[in-house]
Amino acid sequence: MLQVQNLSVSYGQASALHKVSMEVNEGEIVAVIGPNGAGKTTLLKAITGLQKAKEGTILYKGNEISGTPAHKILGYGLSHVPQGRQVFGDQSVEDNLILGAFSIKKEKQKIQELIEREYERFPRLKERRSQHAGTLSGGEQQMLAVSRALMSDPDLVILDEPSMGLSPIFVKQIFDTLLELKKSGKTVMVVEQLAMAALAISDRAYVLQVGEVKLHGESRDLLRDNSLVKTYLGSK
Amino acid sequence: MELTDILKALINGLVYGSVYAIIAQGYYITFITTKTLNFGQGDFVMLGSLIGLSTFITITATGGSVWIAFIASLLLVIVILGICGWGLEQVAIRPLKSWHSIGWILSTVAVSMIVRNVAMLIWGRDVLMAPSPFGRAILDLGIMKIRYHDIFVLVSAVVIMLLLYVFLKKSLFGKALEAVAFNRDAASLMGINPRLMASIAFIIAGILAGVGGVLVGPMVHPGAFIGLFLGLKAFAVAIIGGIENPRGIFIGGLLLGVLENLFTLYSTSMKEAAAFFLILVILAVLPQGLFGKRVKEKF
Repeated sequence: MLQVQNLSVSYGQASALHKVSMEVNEGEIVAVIGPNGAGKTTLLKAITGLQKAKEGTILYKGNEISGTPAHKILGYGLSHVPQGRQVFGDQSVEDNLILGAFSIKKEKQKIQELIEREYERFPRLKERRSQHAGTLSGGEQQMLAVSRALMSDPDLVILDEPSMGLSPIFVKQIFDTLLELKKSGKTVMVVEQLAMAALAISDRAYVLQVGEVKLHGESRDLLRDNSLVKTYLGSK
Repeated sequence: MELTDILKALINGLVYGSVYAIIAQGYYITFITTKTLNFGQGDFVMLGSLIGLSTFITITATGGSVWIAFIASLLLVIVILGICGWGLEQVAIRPLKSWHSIGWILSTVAVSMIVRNVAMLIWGRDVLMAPSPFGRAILDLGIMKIRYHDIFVLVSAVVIMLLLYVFLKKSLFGKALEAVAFNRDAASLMGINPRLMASIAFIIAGILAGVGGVLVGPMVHPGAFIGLFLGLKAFAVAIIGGIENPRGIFIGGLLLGVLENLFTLYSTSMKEAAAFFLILVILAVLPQGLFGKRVKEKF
């Protein structure tokens, strides 16, 4: 579904990603794990057009999407939940969801249905529908960020550290949501620092360190013999 | 000083203040979307005023009715100033925004000087007389007289402000503008094109300047130099009201207009001091502007 080939990104002189290749197949959850500064966020930003790649190609459903500006990526059916939630704090929860459906703006009926679906997924959001998003707790903001990304009904959802700063209860809830998404036929790519938790819910995983893929394979194998993973991540 | 003088000053102040507020909304809308603004906004007002005047005179001279002339001049000004706003963003803001933090300030000031000098070549250096579609008709209230044009300006300002407010707060487009203002990257992940939004913000700012110019024309004697004082007053209003708050700008505009005219009662030379007096007081007491309060965010 998604193929990244020899992707390199640098910020000025500093190289952030070096010839990274990976793929995500339809219907699976793929985890990208690695320590701080490994280039995980850069990888996602390069895929969705927020960061310019120096070289390499990105194919989505056979279409070359490298160099496509971020606002056009959604049109391919690929949605990105950015790091640190980045909900629109000045606007209400419901407005945030409506903005998530900006790319399907013409179909009011459809948008209403999608909002209801997201309220069913996270009833907490319904309770807080008219509250400013900036006043939500971190966990609620993460729910909103996920729901907002789902409002465009994407085929592939990309999440950047959804567990960041959350209490264990919220982490579990978000990870359960990812499993539900998989069950409903969506494909998920998730970047995580909580390596073991991410391995536990994913089908396959890539271990990224200082901008390179050091290790990849079935999550179940990596989890069973996790000495290698630990070498790269420190013991986490 | 009599009570009617004070009343007159109040009404006059509200009328002028509402024009300042319309112009200042242009600062607001581009500032929230791009964190930049047109320092030549006042000269766009001047341009709108003079183009409106020429169109109005041309049509009435060839026998058109004043209302057709007024509507035609308003439409023409909206189109031309909308294009000016778009062009300004393309030429003077977009290429310079990342170059240097003050690049866009200098470039918009430069554009304002060009506009002023071109206007001088076309309309000359003298002030002109701009007729109102209401002519010199006056509403006699007994204790005082009000020009119909002034009432018209006040009502138009309220209508424009309401339309703008509804447009920004209720429409999907307005929500998208606000989203870009809050977080450009996150907005583009929603499929919103930030560059397009910036263009549209500057088009709206240009249109607001133009409409402000058409309204203010018959109140002042328009000429190539009126842009400077109108732009400065509107800028003062944006600071007084809080540049990120459209309601604050509206109230700040009325406040400045009224204060100016009350100061005039004591001394005409005090009029220009009113704006600076108000800015000093407000910045000292409420540095965010009158209504610049923001919601505290959780992290």
